[in-house]
Amino acid sequence: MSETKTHGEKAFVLNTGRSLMQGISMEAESKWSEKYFNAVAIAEMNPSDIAKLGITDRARIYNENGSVVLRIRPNSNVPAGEIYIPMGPWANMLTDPVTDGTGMPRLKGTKVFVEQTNEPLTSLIDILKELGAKNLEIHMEDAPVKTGERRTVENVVCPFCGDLCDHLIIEIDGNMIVKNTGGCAISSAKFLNYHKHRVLKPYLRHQGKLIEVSLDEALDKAAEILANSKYPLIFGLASTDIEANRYAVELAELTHGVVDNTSVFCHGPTALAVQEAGAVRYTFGVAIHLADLVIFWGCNPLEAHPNHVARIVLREGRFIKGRKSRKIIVIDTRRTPTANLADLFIQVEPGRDYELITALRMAIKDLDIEAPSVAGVPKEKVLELAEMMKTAKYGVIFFGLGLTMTGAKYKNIVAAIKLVQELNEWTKFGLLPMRGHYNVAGSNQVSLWATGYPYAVDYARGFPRMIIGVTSATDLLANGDVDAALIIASDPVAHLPRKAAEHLSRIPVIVIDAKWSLTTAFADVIIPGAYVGIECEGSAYRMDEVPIRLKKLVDPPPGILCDSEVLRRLVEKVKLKKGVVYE
Amino acid sequence: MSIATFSLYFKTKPVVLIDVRHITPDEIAGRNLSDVKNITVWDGGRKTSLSDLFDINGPEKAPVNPEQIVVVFETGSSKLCFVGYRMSNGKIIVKGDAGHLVGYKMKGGSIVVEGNARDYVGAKMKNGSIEIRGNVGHRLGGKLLGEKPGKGMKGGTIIVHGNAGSDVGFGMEKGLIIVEGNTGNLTGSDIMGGTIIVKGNSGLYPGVGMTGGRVIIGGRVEAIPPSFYADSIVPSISIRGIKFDKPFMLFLGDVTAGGRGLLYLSYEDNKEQLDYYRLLIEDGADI
Amino acid sequence: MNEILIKNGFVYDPINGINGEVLDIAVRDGRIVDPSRVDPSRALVIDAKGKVVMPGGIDIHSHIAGPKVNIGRLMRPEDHYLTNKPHKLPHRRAETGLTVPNVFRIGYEYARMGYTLVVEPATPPIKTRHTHEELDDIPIIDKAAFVLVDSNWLALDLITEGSREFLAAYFAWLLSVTKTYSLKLVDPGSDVAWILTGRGIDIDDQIPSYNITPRDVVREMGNAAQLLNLPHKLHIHCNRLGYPGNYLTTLKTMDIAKDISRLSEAPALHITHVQFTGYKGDSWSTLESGGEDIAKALKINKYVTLDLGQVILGRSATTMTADAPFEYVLYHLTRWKWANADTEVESAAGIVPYSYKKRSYVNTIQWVIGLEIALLTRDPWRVVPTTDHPNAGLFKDYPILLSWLISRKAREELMKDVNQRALRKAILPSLDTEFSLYEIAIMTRAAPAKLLGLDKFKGHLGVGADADIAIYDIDPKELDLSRNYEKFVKAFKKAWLVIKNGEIVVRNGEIVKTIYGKTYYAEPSIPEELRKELDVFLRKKFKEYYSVSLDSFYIRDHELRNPVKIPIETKIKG
Repeated sequence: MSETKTHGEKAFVLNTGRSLMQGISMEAESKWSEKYFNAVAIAEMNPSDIAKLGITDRARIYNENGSVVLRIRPNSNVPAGEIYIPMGPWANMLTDPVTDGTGMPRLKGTKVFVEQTNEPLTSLIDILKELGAKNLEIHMEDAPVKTGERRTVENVVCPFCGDLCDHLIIEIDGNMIVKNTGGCAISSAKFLNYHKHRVLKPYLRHQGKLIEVSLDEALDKAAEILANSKYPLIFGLASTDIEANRYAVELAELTHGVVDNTSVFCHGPTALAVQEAGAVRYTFGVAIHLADLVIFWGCNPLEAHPNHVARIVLREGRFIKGRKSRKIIVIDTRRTPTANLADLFIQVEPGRDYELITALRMAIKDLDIEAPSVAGVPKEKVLELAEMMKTAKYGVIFFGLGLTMTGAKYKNIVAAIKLVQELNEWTKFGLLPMRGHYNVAGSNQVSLWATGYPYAVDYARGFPRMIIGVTSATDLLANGDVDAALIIASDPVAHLPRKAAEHLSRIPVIVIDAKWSLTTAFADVIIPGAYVGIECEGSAYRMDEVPIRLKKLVDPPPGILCDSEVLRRLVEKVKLKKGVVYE
Repeated sequence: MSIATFSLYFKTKPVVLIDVRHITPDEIAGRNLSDVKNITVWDGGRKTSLSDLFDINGPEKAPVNPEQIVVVFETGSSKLCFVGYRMSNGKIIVKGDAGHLVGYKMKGGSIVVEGNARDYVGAKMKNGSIEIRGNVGHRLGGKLLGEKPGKGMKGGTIIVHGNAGSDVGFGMEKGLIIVEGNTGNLTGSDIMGGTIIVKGNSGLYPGVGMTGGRVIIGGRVEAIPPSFYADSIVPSISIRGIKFDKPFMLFLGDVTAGGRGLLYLSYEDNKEQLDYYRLLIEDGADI
Repeated sequence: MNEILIKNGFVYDPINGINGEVLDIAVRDGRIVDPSRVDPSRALVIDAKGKVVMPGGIDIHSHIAGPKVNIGRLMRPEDHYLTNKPHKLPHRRAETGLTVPNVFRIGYEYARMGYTLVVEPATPPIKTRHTHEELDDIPIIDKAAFVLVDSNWLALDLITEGSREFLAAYFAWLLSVTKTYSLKLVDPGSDVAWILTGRGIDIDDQIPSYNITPRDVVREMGNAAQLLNLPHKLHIHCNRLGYPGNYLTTLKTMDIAKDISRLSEAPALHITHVQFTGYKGDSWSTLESGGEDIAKALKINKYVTLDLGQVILGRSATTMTADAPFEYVLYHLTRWKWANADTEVESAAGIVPYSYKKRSYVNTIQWVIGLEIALLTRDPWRVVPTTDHPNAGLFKDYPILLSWLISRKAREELMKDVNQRALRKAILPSLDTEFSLYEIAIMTRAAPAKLLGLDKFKGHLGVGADADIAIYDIDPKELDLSRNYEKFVKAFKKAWLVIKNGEIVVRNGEIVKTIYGKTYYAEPSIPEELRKELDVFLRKKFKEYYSVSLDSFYIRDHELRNPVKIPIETKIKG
């Protein structure tokens, strides 16, 4: 903390986001690697700001939440006065845990200060220590693989992002995956390195060290933690299958805890907006066949969902002849790679999207816009955009975290939904969130049918409740409201503001994961899981809520079970400890 | 009228959210102390009783009329949720912090929190008064997600001496909210009526979705929603006994909701943003 | 060995012609057996003296699972806030939700009423995996789903090409890979129109981009269903649903049964929630009941069956249907929340919260229509009660609906509170028909089992049937149900005892055990040569139309908790 500093200088606006390299390095090398450090422990600034501050290669970036020293890379696409840090533990040291009662921390639009420094760069270990991590030793190993019979599997489904590409051709030699055709760079990194950096044994933390134990011992300990907890948090679930999600809900019900999934820090606000206003949705195929206007708002699919544009925008549809018959508009705070392929790029002031959406609604309703400019966009441009929307035959908006995380948060989406509902008076229009984790949409679905709510579901009183801001994981962790945590196939330490991560150092934590997430540094029990879509079959939901069955390609490493089976056994053990079994 | 005071002390500080919805004058009224000790309290997900979490001092027999009962949480905690749930009479004092949902669905009586409180204070309250000496979280006097506008606070008064978070008054129908400090984003969103007075600064877009009622921001506003039309400048305002001796610009909206709400923004504090609108108003006067 | 002997009850089993006789019913290993095969010393003996014993109830049309139900849950959290029931583990999971309850409440609520088989009537093929995942999580009851086909581009292409056998083969494949039971048409062709133009169409309008009309679609799909020899042929939600004057469209749709090349004497069309398409008059203010006309048409057309879609007044609802254009119209009336989902190649869906008010003119007319049709036809084998849950009412109100059929007094009580102007235009007040308990057993058990073609082992209590049994604590010999309809409602809301698959799941109206039922799906045979041709066709069309691979479309048996295949010998020629 740099509380002694006086903030005389102008504050910068911090934005975070996914980058292609972040995705590739994470999948290929793990978050503990040099490659991940190089991809994520970096800040991008406008060259003019860099010159103004006299920054050579690094800077201290700080605010009331924390402080890090990062390499600075000039990027003229970052507007002056802003700073961009890829999503990850470094950015988290600065982001604001306040959720505005939406469960969504301020991962974008946080104010930070920047100064030239010659101090050493902040390492991952520095951060973990500062957060109070329990273990800094990790037992990263590669699963044993050997060549053998060569096979090719077609129509393989990719378990990375919410696009759930199901056209991959995967070549396998023995149990090594040697080629991925059709997948993006991140997909390739994921498949070809699936065996690397794995958690291969269950571990318990004992006298400050991780010791190898049998699966049964680990499950016993996990069940004991959950059964003894007054109010546990069960969290993650976006990168595993439907079956695992079912058991997670049952566990929360059994333990009177909370079950939440990662949508709390991605499209949770979108779900809140649907609760308020409804939704106008479409599946990919509808966009392919009909969309003559495609708007990407606050998202950057070229880096976060690399195949998305090719699958939908470039493809020829029944009534639309591919890219040339579609207009593409990108609305974002910075000129992203996706913006470069747009017919029209509209740059909005960070955190001010609500104004633009509202002004569009007014234009469509023929109401005068009095404001001199709207989110930095001139009025004429707003009117032009509204006209393009009204006159499209079938318009679609794909939107990302740029809308859910900033400014008015869920109210951005409420306004966007109403805009689209109103556009349907004129033409056909739809709105679809760009979901990140491959099954985050499925997590919401299971949660809905089992509990009535999409995420952040509490069972304290033996029935489901969702009171956003109260029962959401970010708020519960950042305010220290839970006394144990079970983290399933997710890495909150890599995604949540530091205050939330810090609470994990104070309570017992169980981690079920295929790989050494940063959250394993906070774990008391670590149970390995196998990869759905590579080592296990299972269902997941695409961002447009099309359910797709992921295939099993190879056997999991010896002794390692699918997440759903681990959770099924855990449920059984907790039931026994709680005495809720039929006589 | 004699007053019976029940004082509660935490045996140990709670480590998870606890639900004290039943510790109200209404539920205590007419009960023996031994029964009061058995009132249900949830410690996280565990159903337990008052005496498991609190030491309690009070008369052996509580008055039958809740109006004569004061419940004092002598030690506060940010984990203390549902204080004064549905209470209709009497008084609850928290000598320290309180948690979420203080005064949720309250029907009467009063609640005083001497420290800070968290989200949904006074949410869906119908009547009575809540005073928070410190800061509060979000959705002060609000509704729950998914409910129609108007399902928030329906009456009564909330006074916050410190700051309040976002979505103050979310969907309120009637009543008065006064925040002496600052408020977060979306103050007065989706209100149908009632009055929200913020003496300090406010965040993004006060008044969005409002169809009636009044929102007064006495300080700076981070951004004005475009869906309001500037109406006039008034030299001073006095609302519900609170007087601001400085000019305010009055906006009408939210026009996207077909609303006729009144949004008052301090003119001098927002001069940079409001000068443009001033020209519009003055232009209008010429014609 | 699980043996149960139910003694002394008044048994109502219309399929076996048993009308309130006192009989013993024996259960062994999940099936009904002859009482001689059960050892009374080992069996659990239940004394049902003075109580009614019926087969488990069957609901042929209730939106209980799938994408639109889940959007309904998502957009209506306020539907759940005050409806919670904490779990009682291990016997019962937690329940929440009124109009769009969670999966547990759906199963438990049906079981508490003595229902044991429910059909989800509309699932878009591409999202049917979702429907099954929800169905799998609904406890106790057995289920099945109807697959949406009316706006399916592949099917419309085939109709345009005039290939009847091939269309049937495609449907056979579709039923088999989506693990569904029958074909559903919703506002035929309208979702094509909706997705392309934002509007719905009437039965003789042209479907945009196709040279055919909804009439052609109904007829050709009806022909395909004949070739497929489906036990339940076409399940149709008529065009112009929700519009004044639409009863004419319903009559025209019923008439199409005559144009279908029937290959059996079984009903060719089932018109669902007919109330919603029984509107006479040319505007909302002149709305009248078309019930009498529809009842007349049914009498002279033996190839059509109906379910009611009965409106329950004084209740909130969540309207949800693949009739997306209708929901868009409804949204303009309610102006609150609206959800729409356009689904590639196949369909669309809309969801709007709604509430039926006793004092409303329109709502009263709607209430009248369903009852007029049921009472005027008095044909319980062909007209079955539904509320099109959660569209016209909630399934949990079935006992109230049935009370209006068994008791004129029950109707008259409610008529005091409804819109009187609407009542003056209706013939309902003059009708004195009252159904017997036997007729109730027909329309809620025997008839739906027959309509679904599952009457070999469902809907009756004969030897070999599944041991799905409901016992109600009401003595029909002692009590005049028509006079004491409240007692009937009370008894049927919470069954005294319910047995599902030979296990006791409800006692005294409370769930005592959570088990999971089966999912039935049809698997019609396809001649080998056609199958090869179909394969080529599907590969080509999937590449052209779908955003998922053909491979992803297949739902395999092992994905379902407890699938039961119903093989069907088709009449498709190679």
